[in-house]
Amino acid sequence: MVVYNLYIFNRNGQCLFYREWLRRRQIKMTQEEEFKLMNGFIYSVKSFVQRLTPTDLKDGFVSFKTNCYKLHYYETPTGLKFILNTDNNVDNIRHILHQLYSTIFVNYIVKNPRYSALDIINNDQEIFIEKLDEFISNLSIFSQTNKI
Amino acid sequence: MACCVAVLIKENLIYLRRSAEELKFLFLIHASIDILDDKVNQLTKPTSDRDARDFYLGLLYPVEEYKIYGYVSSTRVKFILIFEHSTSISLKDQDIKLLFQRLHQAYIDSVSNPFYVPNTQLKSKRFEQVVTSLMIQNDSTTLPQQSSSVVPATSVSIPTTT
Amino acid sequence: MSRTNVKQNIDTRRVTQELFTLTYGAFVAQILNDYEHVDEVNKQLDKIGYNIGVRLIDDFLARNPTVGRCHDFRETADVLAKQGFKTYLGITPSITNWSPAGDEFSLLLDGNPLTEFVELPDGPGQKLSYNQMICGAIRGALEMVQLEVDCRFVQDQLKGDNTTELRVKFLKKLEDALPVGED
Repeated sequence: MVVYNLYIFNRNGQCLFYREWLRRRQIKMTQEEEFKLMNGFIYSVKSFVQRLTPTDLKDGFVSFKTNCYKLHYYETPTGLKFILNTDNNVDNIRHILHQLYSTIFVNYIVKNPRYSALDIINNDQEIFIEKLDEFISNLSIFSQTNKI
Repeated sequence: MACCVAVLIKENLIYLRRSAEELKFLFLIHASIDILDDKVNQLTKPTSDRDARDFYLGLLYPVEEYKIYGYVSSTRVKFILIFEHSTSISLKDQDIKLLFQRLHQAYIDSVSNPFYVPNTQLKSKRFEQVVTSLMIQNDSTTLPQQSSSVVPATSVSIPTTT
Repeated sequence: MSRTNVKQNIDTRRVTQELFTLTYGAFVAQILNDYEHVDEVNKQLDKIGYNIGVRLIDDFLARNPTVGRCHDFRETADVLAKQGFKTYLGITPSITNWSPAGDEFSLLLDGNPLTEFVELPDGPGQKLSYNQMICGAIRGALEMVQLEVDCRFVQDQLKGDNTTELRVKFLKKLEDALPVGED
């Protein structure tokens, strides 16, 4: 099992943070464009899912799978969106995304007084990035293939 | 029963309450500062066999009509209580010590008020209430004891504890 | 540090109530010194509270993973009083005085730890809303979960009232921002 990349969007659809652990193919578009597409895509899927549902949704849209990757989605009540791409052997990892939010994001970003709410996370947030890497690489779904 | 309550930091009077507007209380307080200082110095001597947290200094000195008691905090804030001779029946050291401890606690609470500037006049309503209770309640709590005793309060002889 | 360690640290790091109370007190007293008008001080406290609330809500949700989006305002009030106040101030205010429309309620604060030693200074200081930070924090926190509320103190024990009553009024639900270029 492999972890590919992570996006964090804020409520306004701005990409706060992006990090990749494995990305084999480079796409022909700017990163900015990619974030915009990802956000628009998530927004559409979310509202589509909401419209289709026969009963009240609790968690809403959780993940989708293609033949080569799986996209996991977690949204906090504060409107932060965590999107993690893995290979498609991974089960539901909602709890892991919540853990990522509650132990890494809240502790090292939200509680950092230097970070003003809803700012883009720069590379100078070293502790956050370090802890995030540590967290991801300790996951059981993060396998040796990742480290090649 | 206590007819005068005073709180001092060094030589500055930051709180004074007396039963009557009489100058003599001020004289008494100022006169007792020296004795207080003397006792405090003895406290800090290593030879002193007192408990380090025991701040009660006991009877400072008796004058004709009054008895003056002192108490000092570890931050050297001095508390003085003056009792009238005539009304003070069987003033035990233990009781007075308790009064001082209540006063001390009230002082700590007032100093903890963020709007109080340290070393200035204490104007706290809560502190005022405690002092009032010290001056009034004391009478009411000791009076019943008095009624059970045969001797009328006015003629009680006070054992001096110097 | 392993993940479990991080979690333990959150729960064991505590300060005494006195330190907290005195810190807040010293802080308010300093702001009162720095500004000329008490109204301005109240505004600043509210602002500071707001900035705290905006962050605190994420911490709150991290600690309480079971708390999801509330279905109605009553549920919000419940979570706020029984979990929010409990977690951060150690008290559980009672919820009363619902408006008939159900969009406004009061929280009665019993034994507010912030005000333990406080006596308001005389003069203009009597107008100081000492706990205003709590209002700001509630406003900030709820705004982050798409609820715009108005929050203010209508009674304050520090000002001689019998209780400390905080009024929260629902204003509107904020909508998610649409992605650019979409309808």
